[in-house]
Amino acid sequence: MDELEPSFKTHPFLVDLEPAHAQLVADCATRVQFRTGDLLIREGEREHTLYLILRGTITVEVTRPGGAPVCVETIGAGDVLGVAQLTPATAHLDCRARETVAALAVDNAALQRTMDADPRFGYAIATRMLARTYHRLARVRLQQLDIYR
Amino acid sequence: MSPVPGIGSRVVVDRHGFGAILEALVETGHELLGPTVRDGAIVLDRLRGVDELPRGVGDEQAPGHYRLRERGDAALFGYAASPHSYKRDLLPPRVPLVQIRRSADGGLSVAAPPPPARKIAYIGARGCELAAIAVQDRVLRDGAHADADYRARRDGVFVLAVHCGAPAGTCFCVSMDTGPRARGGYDLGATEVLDGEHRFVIDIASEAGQAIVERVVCRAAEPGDVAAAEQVISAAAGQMGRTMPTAGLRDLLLGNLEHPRWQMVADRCLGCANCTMACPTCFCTNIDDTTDLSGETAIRSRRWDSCFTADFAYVHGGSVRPSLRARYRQWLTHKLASWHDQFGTSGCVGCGRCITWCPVGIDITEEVAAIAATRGPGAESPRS
Amino acid sequence: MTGNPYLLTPLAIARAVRELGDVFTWTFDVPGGFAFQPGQFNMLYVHGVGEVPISISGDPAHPELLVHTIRAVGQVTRVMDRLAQGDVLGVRGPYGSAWPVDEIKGRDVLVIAGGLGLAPLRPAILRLLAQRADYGRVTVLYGARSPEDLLFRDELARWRGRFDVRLEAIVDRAGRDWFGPVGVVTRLIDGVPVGHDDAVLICGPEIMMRFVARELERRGVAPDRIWISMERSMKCGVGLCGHCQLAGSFVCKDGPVYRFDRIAPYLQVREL
Repeated sequence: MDELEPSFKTHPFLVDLEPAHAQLVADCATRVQFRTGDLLIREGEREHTLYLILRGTITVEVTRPGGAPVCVETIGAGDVLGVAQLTPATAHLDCRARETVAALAVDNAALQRTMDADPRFGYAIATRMLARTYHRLARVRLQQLDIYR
Repeated sequence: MSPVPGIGSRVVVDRHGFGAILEALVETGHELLGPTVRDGAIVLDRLRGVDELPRGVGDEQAPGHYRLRERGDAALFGYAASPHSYKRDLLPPRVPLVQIRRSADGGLSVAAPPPPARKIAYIGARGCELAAIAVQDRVLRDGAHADADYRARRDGVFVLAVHCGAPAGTCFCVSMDTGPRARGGYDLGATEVLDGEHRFVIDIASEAGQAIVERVVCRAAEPGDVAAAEQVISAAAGQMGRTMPTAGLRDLLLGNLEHPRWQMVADRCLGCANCTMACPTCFCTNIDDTTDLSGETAIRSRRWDSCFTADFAYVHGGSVRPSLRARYRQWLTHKLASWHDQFGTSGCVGCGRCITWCPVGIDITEEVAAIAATRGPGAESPRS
Repeated sequence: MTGNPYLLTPLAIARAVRELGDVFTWTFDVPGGFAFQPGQFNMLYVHGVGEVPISISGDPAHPELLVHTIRAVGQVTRVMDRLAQGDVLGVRGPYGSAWPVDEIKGRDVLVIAGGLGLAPLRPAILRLLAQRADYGRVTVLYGARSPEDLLFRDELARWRGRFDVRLEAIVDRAGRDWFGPVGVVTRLIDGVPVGHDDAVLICGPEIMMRFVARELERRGVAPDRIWISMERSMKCGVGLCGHCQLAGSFVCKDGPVYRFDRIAPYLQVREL
């Protein structure tokens, strides 16, 4: 992306980044769209892309033999998918579009190179990833407690 | 017949006169409940007369220690708190509350047992005990809902109090401002004087008290009698076995709920609940359901319970206070701190029973002093 | 002050409805009306078995119908699960403190329910909707374990169908036939506007209420604008037996509804 779209600037992951840093992310990103049923992330595959969701709902699912997939979370506008980017890992869940999804797809490799070259930028991105991961962990813990039992 | 003394005045009787007062109470239809010796202890039981009082008996009390001893005199009230309190009479260990019968068509009919009709006089009740009764009155009778059985038992009790002359090693009524002089809640208040002339200086506090005194031969108290009685009381005040620092006590305990001392006392505590049974203000009860063999008639009964039992407080999933540490903390913070938030007074009257009757000798005055000595920053604590 | 607080009133079940696998709703006909405040509870007695505190889940505008929604989770409630229309229970109450439906008039109201917590909140929601003009924005957020565990599902749909209420539901897990959000109930708060002067009513498992209150704090809602409903074991229900105490408070008479700032510090102390 050459210029910073309004949608880009207001996404919660980027909203208080320095303009120069936001541009660095934009340089690694393209606007993408998914149709209902498309997989954004497939279990077992290396995750190449960080998705900043602009619009639409995504189900985070686990497949199992003999039964329908179990949805453990829904993700939507303002969320980030593929936070595990910075570690060499394969996805442990499917992420499927439940309706039309618009997102900014950030190429992981390009982002990584930029972070290595610019440590201050790298720090800003890494701390945002960490905050997201922490909040996700807290939600998952609460879900895990099965409190309504 | 002596001149009729007024309310607020004092009279003097000797030992025989004291016996006559008890007889007057019996003649006017009262059952007497007071101290008597049994099984090596002084218990509260029905008395027939003055001869059943523990004449010449004293007591030694210390943490986990209780012994009777010979005083070598003829004192009738030369001892302190007994293992029993008047709680056994006003809040008996087991009481039926309501009976429910199921008829053939499945309907239920509900009946309450008739309230106990009795005329009873407490003989020798101490200041701490009367303070404890007043504390329980606030909990069980004077709130938005009253326990009907407690209210019925409490109604019309005649109290012949004794201002203490022989405190024991575990007493701290002075700290709790409940004694040795009884503060009220009595009809007649007696101080036993043993300065060569064994006599009782009695203050008349109510019309009921006056009516009893009118039936016996007595003389008006002279300044010398009053001075002798005051001397007994002030000497007793100076012989307290222990002290409890009450200033700021609520905030101290509620601000130190994670103090290491709680674990230290829990390591000694057996969770036996003796303290809650001996304590004259502990009021926790449970409600049991029993049925006859046919299942038609069910009775709901109220029985003593204790916050030391593991499932006293539970929610779906288990006990709220699984550890003994938490349960000890609950008991002591309720007694000395939360009670203020609930009822505007302390729950403790300084009788020392919990110290005497703890099998391992836990002393709540010592525990509080230990927390106060190494308190944490939390002197501010929220009001609930 | 007079009278015997342990006497109970026999009432026959007029209607028994299965809500979920282990949850059922009883309706009792009370011709004279059983007046109560939203949030209050009754002690319900099963002959010869025992007595438990159960929140009233009916419409306060219709006191001639006494309604209780019960989950079979303990000794007494499991026996209750086997009772049917015509069986007679003993009822004592209503007891306890109420949702502050009058105090919060004029404000935007956020109601957050988790699991069976929707039942004690139902009378408050019905009151808000019946006197709709007395309140600002009304939002109901509801979290349950799965779509099959959504309580009062038809009624949720009716409430949702009104044009003056926002209602969102979320479940912890779902299959393919659920098209709503999946996740913890705090996620729903992300998606609603929350004002500093909003009044928030929360009811659900204690863990859920703590997490939700924490999230609200993060969104700028002060603890004196939040009310929760606490639960403790009760024997007498009237402040005489001592079992329900939480620090200096009797949950049966100072609660079960508490303004959050008055109870929050005690929720932080383990095993209090």
